[in-house]
Amino acid sequence: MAGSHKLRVKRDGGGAQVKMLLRHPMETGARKNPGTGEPIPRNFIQELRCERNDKVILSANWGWGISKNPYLSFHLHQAQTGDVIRVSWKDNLGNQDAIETQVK
Amino acid sequence: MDRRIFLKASLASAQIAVLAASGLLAPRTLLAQWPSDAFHAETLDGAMSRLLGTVDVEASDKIGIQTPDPAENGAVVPVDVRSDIPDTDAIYLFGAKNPTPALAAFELTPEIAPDISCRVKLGATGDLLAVIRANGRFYSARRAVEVVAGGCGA
Repeated sequence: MAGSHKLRVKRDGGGAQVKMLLRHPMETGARKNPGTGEPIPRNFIQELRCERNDKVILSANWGWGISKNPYLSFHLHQAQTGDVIRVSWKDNLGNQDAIETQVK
Repeated sequence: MDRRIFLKASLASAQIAVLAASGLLAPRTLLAQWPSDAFHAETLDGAMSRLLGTVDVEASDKIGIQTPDPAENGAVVPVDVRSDIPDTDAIYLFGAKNPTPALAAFELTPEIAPDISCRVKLGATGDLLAVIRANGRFYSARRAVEVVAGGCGA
C-alpha cells in the first residue's frame, strides 16, 4: 500500500497548504462481502499525526465515519524551503504507515 | 543526598526536559489515547460528552461549516470547518444521524490555521456538527446536510 498515498505541500505566500490522500478502506464493520455475505471487519485509521521537521503540527483521532481513502487539508502559517512534512498514522488493527515530503 | 541517587534523579529530569522541549509532553500537541467510548457512543449527546468531557457547549456564529448541498453520496461528504474564534486549538466533528455520531477530533497547534478540510460519511439527512475548543471552552455550529444516498454502509 505504501507509495499509493499522496502528500502535497503547495507554497502560498509565506505559508503552505498541506493536502493528503491516504489509501485506506475505512471499513465501518457494517458492510458485508457481496459475494459471500460475510461481514467485513471494521478497519479504520484511529490516530494520525502531522509533523513539520519532527515537531507535531496537527494530530487527530478518527472513527470509522471518515470516508474511505481519507482526504485531509490544512494551512501552515509559515513554511520554508526544505521543511520536511511528515504524516504518520495507525489503524485499529495495528497497521502503521507514513508519508513525507519536503517543501520546495 | 547519595551521589548515585542524585545523578539518577538529575538524569531523569534532564530526559523529561528534553521530552518537554521536543513537544512530546506538551498537552496541546498530545492527544489523549484514542477515546473508544466516544467513538462507540450511539447518541449525539453521549458522543459529545465523552469526546469533549463536557456537555457545556455554546453555539457560535464564528464557526463556518461548508458542505455540498445536497450531498449526493453520503459515503463521501466533503467538509470544511473554519473557526474565527481566537486561540482555537481543537476541532471535533459529529454526524447527528449516524449510528455512532463521533466522526473525528483534531488537535491543532498555533502553526496551522484553524481551518480543516476532510471527507466524512453521513448516514442520512441531518445535522453535521462542528465543535471547537478555545481557551478550554467549547463552541459549536451545525449545518443541515441533505444526503441523497446514505453512506453508513460504505
